[in-house]
Amino acid sequence: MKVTVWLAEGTWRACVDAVSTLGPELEITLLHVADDDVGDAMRFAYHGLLSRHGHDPADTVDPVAVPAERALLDDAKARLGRECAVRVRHGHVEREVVAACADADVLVCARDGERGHAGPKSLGHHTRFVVDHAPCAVLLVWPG
Amino acid sequence: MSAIVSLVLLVAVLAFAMIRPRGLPEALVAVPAAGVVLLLGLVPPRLAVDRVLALLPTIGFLAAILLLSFLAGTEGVFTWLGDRVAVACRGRPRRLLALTFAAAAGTTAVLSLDATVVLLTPVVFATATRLRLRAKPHVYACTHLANSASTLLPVSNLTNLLAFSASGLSFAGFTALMALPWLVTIAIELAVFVRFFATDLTGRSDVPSPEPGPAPVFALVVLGLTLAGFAAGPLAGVEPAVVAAVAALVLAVRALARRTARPWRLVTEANPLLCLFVLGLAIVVEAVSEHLLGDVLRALLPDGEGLGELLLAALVAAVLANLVNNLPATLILVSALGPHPAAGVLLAVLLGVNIGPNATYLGSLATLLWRRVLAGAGVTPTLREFLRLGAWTVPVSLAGAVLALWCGLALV
Repeated sequence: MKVTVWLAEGTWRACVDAVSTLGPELEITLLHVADDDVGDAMRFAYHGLLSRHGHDPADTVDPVAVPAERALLDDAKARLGRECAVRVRHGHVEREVVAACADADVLVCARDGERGHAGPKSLGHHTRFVVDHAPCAVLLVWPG
Repeated sequence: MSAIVSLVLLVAVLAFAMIRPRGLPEALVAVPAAGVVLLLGLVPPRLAVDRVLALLPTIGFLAAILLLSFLAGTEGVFTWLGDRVAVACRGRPRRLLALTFAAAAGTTAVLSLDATVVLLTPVVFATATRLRLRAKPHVYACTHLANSASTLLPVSNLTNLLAFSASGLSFAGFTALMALPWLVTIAIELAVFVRFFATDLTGRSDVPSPEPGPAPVFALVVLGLTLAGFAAGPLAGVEPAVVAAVAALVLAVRALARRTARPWRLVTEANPLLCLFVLGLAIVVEAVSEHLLGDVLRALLPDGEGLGELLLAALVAAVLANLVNNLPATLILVSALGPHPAAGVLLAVLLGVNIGPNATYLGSLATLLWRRVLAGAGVTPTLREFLRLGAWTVPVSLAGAVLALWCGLALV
């Protein structure tokens, strides 16, 4: 069984832990998607300032985001403690996740938001889209 | 005829500034356009000279504060602030958001919105990312507050500076009237952000927060004295531009002595082309105001200080700031209001041009949208989200800020 595990900041550990409930014979892929929105927001704000050039703050995104992403995937691999593949993508998160599980049998992902409240707010905008559109079974876990 | 020529010149200046073909500086069209205005006699030379002379202290301040912010950055002030915030939030995303609000509102108020957009936002992004928290709410907070928290001091935004001299208010008087609207705006923005980003403010950091480096004491002391100088200077007849220039000079000498910046870099950081652009734009705007928009806006803008009138003034300003950009919008509105506008109306206009641009995202928000429209790129999901966030924050915070201003005016 091919399992894709979508790791998001704040909730990734619960997703990794949930993999063990799916059995021993698994082809596991850990997936992280960097959100292009953040860099876009920084660039847009900068362009909003007329006539200021040479310091686009969006240029600072990758040098910070890439090592942080690598560290998160390393920690996730260590926590999983078994053979797995790693995949990174960037763009609009929800669409990238759906595209990344095109060949998966199961997608593991976590709810977001406050766990004290029941209701649709336990699914963020991206997760809602992924649950609606993923082309495979989805295992939705409570973050730890 | 004069009206059409003025309008064509303004459109040309703004279109060039927004599209910036081949990255050419905006002043390249603004300055010749101002020359055409003078050549055709659309603005009497004496009036143009008066306008330029009146603007010089503002332009000088702008150059000084841009340089001061840059030097504060090279001294490590923003990195240090990011580290302190990382420690103080104790890994909790909501605390991080509240602290980011405080840092962004403070930076914007003291060093103006440029510093928040260019210098603080990357630090906040790095802080959230290193703490392994979702960066989006915190980055968006910086970009929003760069506009909406720029109402506190006359020095917080170029728009305030352009209007300040016409307001007839003292530095302390301006700040006293704007303090409550500023706080109300920030409180409303925070409340909306917590709800809007509820699902992103999730989990806790699972990595240790970085050890903060040593505090950049020298730069912090200079910034503290600068702030004190802004407040106390006018009492002794010292302009904010002089205070900012002295502070920038102190940090510049130190940077040169320690070889952390080269002389040419200091010149470019003071952004002389921006200063030229503002001067050119001001003259073109004067022509448009004289021959076309002045009468319309004068008819539209109220002169009383009732709540309804203040709301109308803020609304007109917010709409104009979203249509063009808040910089030309302010120049047009200040010119239309004439030399002695009611202080309340002027401050309401400033609330409009400063908070309003968040409606089309960092206003210039309009700049970006126009640029995309002109490029045929359309509206992306990112932009859709900005517009949704703007729709939630701007009407409420603008109305709340104007109400607070009206209360403040009633107390004076």
